[in-house]
Amino acid sequence: MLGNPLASLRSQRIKPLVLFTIVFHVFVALLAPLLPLASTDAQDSGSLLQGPSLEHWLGTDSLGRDVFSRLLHGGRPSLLIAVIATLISALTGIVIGSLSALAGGWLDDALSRLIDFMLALPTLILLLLISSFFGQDPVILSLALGLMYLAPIARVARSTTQTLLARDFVRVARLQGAGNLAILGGEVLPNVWRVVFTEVTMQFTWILLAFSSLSFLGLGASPPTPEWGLMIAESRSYMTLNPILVIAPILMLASLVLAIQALVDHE
Amino acid sequence: MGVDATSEIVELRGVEVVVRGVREGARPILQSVDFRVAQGESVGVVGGSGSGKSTLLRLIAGVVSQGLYLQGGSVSVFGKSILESSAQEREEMYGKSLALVAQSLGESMTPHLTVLSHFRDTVGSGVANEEVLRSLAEAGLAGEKYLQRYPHQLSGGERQRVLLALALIRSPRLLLLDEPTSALDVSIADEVLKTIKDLQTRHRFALVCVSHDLGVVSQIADRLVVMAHGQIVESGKTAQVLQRPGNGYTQRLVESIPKLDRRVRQAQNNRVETVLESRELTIFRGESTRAIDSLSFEIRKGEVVGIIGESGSGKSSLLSAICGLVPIESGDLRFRRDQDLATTLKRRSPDLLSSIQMVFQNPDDSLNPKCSVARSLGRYTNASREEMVSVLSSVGLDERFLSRQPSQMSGGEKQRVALARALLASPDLLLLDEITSALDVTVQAAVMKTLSNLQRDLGVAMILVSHDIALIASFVDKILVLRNGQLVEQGTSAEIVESPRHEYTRKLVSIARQKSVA
Repeated sequence: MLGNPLASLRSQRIKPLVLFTIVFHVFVALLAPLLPLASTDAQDSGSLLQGPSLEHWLGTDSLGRDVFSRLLHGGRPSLLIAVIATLISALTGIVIGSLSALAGGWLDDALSRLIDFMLALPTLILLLLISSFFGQDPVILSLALGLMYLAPIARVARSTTQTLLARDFVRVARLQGAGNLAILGGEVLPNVWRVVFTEVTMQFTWILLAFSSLSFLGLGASPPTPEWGLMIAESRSYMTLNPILVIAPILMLASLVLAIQALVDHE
Repeated sequence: MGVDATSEIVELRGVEVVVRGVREGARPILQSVDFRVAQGESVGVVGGSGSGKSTLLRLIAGVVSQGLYLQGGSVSVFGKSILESSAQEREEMYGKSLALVAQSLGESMTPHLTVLSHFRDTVGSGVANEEVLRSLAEAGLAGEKYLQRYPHQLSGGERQRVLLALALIRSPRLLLLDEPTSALDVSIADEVLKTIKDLQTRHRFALVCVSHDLGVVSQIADRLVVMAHGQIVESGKTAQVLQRPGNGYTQRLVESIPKLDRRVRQAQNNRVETVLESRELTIFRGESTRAIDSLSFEIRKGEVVGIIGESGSGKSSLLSAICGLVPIESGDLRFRRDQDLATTLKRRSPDLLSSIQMVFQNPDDSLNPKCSVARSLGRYTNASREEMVSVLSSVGLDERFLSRQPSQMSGGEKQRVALARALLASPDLLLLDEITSALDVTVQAAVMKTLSNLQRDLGVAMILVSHDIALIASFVDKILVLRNGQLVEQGTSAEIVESPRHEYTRKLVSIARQKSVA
């Protein structure tokens, strides 16, 4: 009802498309192994870098693998890692941010400086370092991504908590004998989550992009795993021969990220 | 009353305003409203929240609030249909023939512009300083010093006067005021209203003043229009409406206004046992400002004490210190003679904590928006369902409210729940910080009635803080008058009302008397 009427009109038109895109991606990521698709690894040496055909809907790559099948499977590794990493960053971010605001004093100062420090770190370079030291272990990568992307969440959680702590219902809780932990669990967190949710969803898309970038650079998913970033990297030399090889994974990644961001924007 | 009674400058006929996109049959915001203002007439529009009074005022200014639309009827100002006039025609009209002073004092001025710059922006850069000075002086701000001041260097009353001067400098024929005094302290509001009345008599512009406060509009209006649920329920000469209200709602409205000499609770002054004792109490606000300066008083068991004071008088700081939210700088504050309240919240025993409960001013802020009433009531008190139902019924709510969320309740209902939550702790001392100031007058009267019954049944001592001396005087046993952190006067309700000694108290009492006579 409030705001620019044109904006709401646009969002009304766009919303079905956004929802459809997200449902499509979730559906595909969950069910790809169950769908009657060609194997992602089977190499057809007789047909390399083929264009779309009835047999291979989106053609084949340089090793003769079915691009359509690899494309539908290609979101699974990044999505899995992004979901785990986002859970880690949301949990730690909210806890650190809220505790920081609740504790106040030197602990708040220390944690705030730590968050500032983390925000200043060059994420991708650090990820490259971690990945080259510890190898392409998905567990370590999720953990690293999760910790690296917690700072913005912690910051939002901290400022939201500070606002909440000044509100009367929190004061009343204190007057009724609630300790810091009870206030954190009962009064702060349920209200923080609502605000932080947007930030968490945005971080999810950044993590998704970061992992795909790592794969593109050869330090995320390892061949022959089908993964969008990796697929782009493997095919970029053949881009002029068969552009679908590069365009298709880019479209998949971009549509997913844009749809999620559009959804949060209009919440 | 007008210069020429036949020349209507505002005429609304059969106006229907509804919320856009709401299904048929929903209640309109304005419903068959006929409203006229003659030249030089001053009309007061009064009504509770949701009565449609602000929508009406905006409509006269040619604005339909976002999300609403005019379904029927016509709005004509100076004989033209203002809603259909072009942007250029409106530009012509605003300022020169029609001026609006909006409610929010803080947002109506640009922080980085001086008073003079505001005038230059409004009237044009060619405006002579003399003209601005004359306009300011008429609004009660004499002296060149005001020209170069920034908004933050002005008090609330001064800001309202600058806005008045800005609105009147081009001698408009119609002035629209939205809650002109809601952000001001009582004594300052009174002075501003006198200035408005004075300017209106002198310049004979037509005036439409919208307020929730019958006392405010009756001070400056020749004619009163009472609105409820989007309809005009009564209209007539101010004195007539006040003395012989013809409509049931108006009657309730008039009756709900607290009167200095009509008690809603019997005073009792025969208690002996002391509950709270303060000796030379000093509380700081920030590093060095004294919010409360060597204050001494005593509250007995079951006694109801009213604290009256304006913003900055330290009344909220005092309540916060009693319940432990704010530390005490020096002096002695004792509960039941043996418990020292100079301790922080964390060091207070659970028993002491539950003995002192507070209800805050803003009903929207006092309940966790994520919790149902049952959860809000039971979380820290561990009350059983039966206890909750019984305490809810004591504040006038029934069992069904247990499952309600804060968003499903009105301000009055939320404040009742907040009161119920405080009562569940079985306090010996209940601190009430302006608990009715955000509520409509009729709702306020109902809450005060509930409070009176509770006090009679439970015998709990209360400190009631308010800026409204009539509200306090009609309810409490003893009154403390605070000004700038100091106690300027204390006495029983009757003493303060009948023979106020301090000059400031006398002023408050006389303003309250004027209002109830008006």
